[in-house]
Amino acid sequence: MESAPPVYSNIELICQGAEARIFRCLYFGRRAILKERFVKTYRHPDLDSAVTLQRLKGEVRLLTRAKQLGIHTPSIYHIDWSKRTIIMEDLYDSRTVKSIIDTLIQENNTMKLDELAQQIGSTIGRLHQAQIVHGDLTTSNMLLSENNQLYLIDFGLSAHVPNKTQMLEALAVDLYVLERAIICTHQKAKHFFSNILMAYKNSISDDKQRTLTMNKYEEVRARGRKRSMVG
Amino acid sequence: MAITAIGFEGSANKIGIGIIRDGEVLSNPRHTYITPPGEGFRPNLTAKHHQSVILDLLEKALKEANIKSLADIDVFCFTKGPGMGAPLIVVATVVRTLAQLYNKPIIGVNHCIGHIEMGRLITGAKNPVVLYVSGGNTQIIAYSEHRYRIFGETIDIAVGNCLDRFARLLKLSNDPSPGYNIEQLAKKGQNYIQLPYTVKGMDVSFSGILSHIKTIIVGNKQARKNQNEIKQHSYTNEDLCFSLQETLFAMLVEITERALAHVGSNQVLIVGGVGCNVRLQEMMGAMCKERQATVCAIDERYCIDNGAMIAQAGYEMYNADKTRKGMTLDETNCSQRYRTDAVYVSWRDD
Repeated sequence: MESAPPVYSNIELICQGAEARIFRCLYFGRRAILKERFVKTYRHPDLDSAVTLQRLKGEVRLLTRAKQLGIHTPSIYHIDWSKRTIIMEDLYDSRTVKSIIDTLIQENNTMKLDELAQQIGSTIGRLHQAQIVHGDLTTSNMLLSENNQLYLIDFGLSAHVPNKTQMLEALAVDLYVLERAIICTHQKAKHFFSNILMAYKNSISDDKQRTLTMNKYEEVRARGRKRSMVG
Repeated sequence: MAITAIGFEGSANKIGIGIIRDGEVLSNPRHTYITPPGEGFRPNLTAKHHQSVILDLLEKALKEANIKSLADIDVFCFTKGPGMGAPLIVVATVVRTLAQLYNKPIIGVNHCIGHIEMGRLITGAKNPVVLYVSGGNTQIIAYSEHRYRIFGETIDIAVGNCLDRFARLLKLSNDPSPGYNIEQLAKKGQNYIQLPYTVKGMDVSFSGILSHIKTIIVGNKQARKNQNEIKQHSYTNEDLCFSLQETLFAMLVEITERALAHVGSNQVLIVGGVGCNVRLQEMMGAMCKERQATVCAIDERYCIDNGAMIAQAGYEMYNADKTRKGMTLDETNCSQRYRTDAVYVSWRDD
């Protein structure tokens, strides 16, 4: 009797992020990524399952929403609630933007860097226009495929924020997280973030919305500064 | 030639004086200003406290270190900031006076850098991700290109401040510290109460949790008044302490893990007053075990604000500067706001 391809095969750990273990595998014979939000033994079990399920649900929901907006994200194949696992498309021909920036800096390729910043800025702009925040924008969570398409991954901390005042705050924090991630990991990439911000601003068509977001962003930045008052 | 550094710390309610000779702690006495239960420490009263004990403490430090005269000290270090203005100024004034009397160089040290350098000295950790948690600060820090960079931090109150204010609500004793008493009560906690869990990217927020727990405490008191209400809705203080610790620390461990993953480091160093909480150390250990990383934790002698840490950071700064002049008198002012990443780290060349 001929048997159907196994559900999972060739499972191989590729990395352990902060949130989850990422495996490569074959899912019904197709190349796939398996993202398992493993049990955090340091967290109280009640807290852990509440936080994990909330993030799992959010990730699936917002990955799909982002895709609807025409932003490249991996496709979801299957969700296994009991194992806290998402099985999704394997973008095997892509590299993280983090490593690409490092290469470009070594090559001193400013033109390509500017292009990349432009791409990142407009993509985030599009996401934000739909009131979606990513929640963990770092250059490790962006992939660039072989044909130069920017993919956003890891929507575990993302949220849809329709409420107007909460939204501005959330968008601004999202940008601020990215700014600090870039300052911390890519000190040598001068102007990279300001180029992203420029492209981001250009992607917002509504003048009023743009000013409001930028003002809020400045406010959030100042907030970080003020800390360290007491010690 | 061996360099002997003396460090004066008084940015909050502790005053400490430590003497270090080339990485060896000779003495490190400390005195804490303890307020009655339900009260915090006010800047002016804290300054008066520091004023009243600083000279006795200095004598003690010299005696324990077996140093006859201040003339045998090579460099005077003090906390330049961040911290409470009045106590900082008291200590700075004493240090400036002494240094001029004995004609010695002065170094003003960033308090947070003091914690980091002391942690590195004691644990031998080379390039760890640093979780700095105290009454006034909550930061996750990684070194890169001559700066200690802040990866994530609290966007409102510090974790220690959240714990202190919670302890005031329950009227817990401030002796030896509110955090210690919460930790002891938490050990007897049974029931986990769901509290808000607020991680925003690399940042955390604690003020909402404090407000939330306030409403629970108020509700509790009312439930006890109307005795006919079912006891189910009232929690014990032990449960509250337990749940608060579990929630706060889970958030801290999570952002530390995030930073570890992002930087690609496998060492965590916990510093600051909250860092001596054993439960936090345990949770951090559990996280690290799963990532094949290690935790470097230090005990209360060096976790809590102390003079030796200021001496150590000051020694590093002094040693890296080949002119050996220290700071000019104009530069020895204090600042309540002085960010960790504002300091150029001249003494590390990695």
